[in-house]
Amino acid sequence: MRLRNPKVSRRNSLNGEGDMKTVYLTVVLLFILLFAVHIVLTPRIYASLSVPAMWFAGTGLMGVFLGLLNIAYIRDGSPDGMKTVMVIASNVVALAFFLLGALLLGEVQAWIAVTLCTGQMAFSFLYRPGGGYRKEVEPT
Amino acid sequence: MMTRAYGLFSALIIFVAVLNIVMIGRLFNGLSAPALWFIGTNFMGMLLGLLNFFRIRANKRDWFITWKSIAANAVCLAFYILLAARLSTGRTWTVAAVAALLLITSILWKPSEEKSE
Repeated sequence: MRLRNPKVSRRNSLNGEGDMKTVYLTVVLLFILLFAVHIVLTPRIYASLSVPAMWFAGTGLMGVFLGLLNIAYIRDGSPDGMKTVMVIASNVVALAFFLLGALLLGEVQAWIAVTLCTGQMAFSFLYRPGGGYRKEVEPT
Repeated sequence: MMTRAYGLFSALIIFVAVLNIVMIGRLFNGLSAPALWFIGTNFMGMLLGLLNFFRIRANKRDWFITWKSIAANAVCLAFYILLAARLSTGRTWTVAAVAALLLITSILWKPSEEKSE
């Protein structure tokens, strides 16, 4: 028999009202949407499919892949330290990158990316896959 | 054997991306917007490798985890071929070849829980 660990279960809920998983997923989906728009806008910003245009589109793909990695982490549900480290490290590196980009470009959309990435990173820290189930210890 | 090949190609894609980021000084003078997009594109390569490592690590039959890896590999292969066609350097074609091998291994790879059935 498996019981929900109340300590971890509490961490995965927001003041007992909403499910952290849903909010985390919403932030990730918004993040993917932002970078899908970034990719779609490439032909509008660059006249031809030049090398700088490809770098620009590649950054958009990076955002989409980061979102996919987070969705896979939410879906997977098995408590594995290696996967958690992988996702958290990716989010931290991406946040540093977006922060650098926002400071360099100073555009609104860059700051939106920083905000969403901060949320994503915070949730990846707080979220515990599988709700932290533990096995009941059989009495001896 | 297939898991080793899959892990090796994932590691190679990450290695090339890290190498490109480290060597950014050779391509750009200072931190400009194109330099930023270049770093972002190489982060994409790193994340592609991580997506595949995540799938190996998860080792389960989940449609999302399977198809997100295969789709990401296919998109990246198309991206690297387009890039190699524009830059026409040996290194970019090598990266495209590694991406192609990564796509093939990601299609052929099966989780061990499936193999034992």
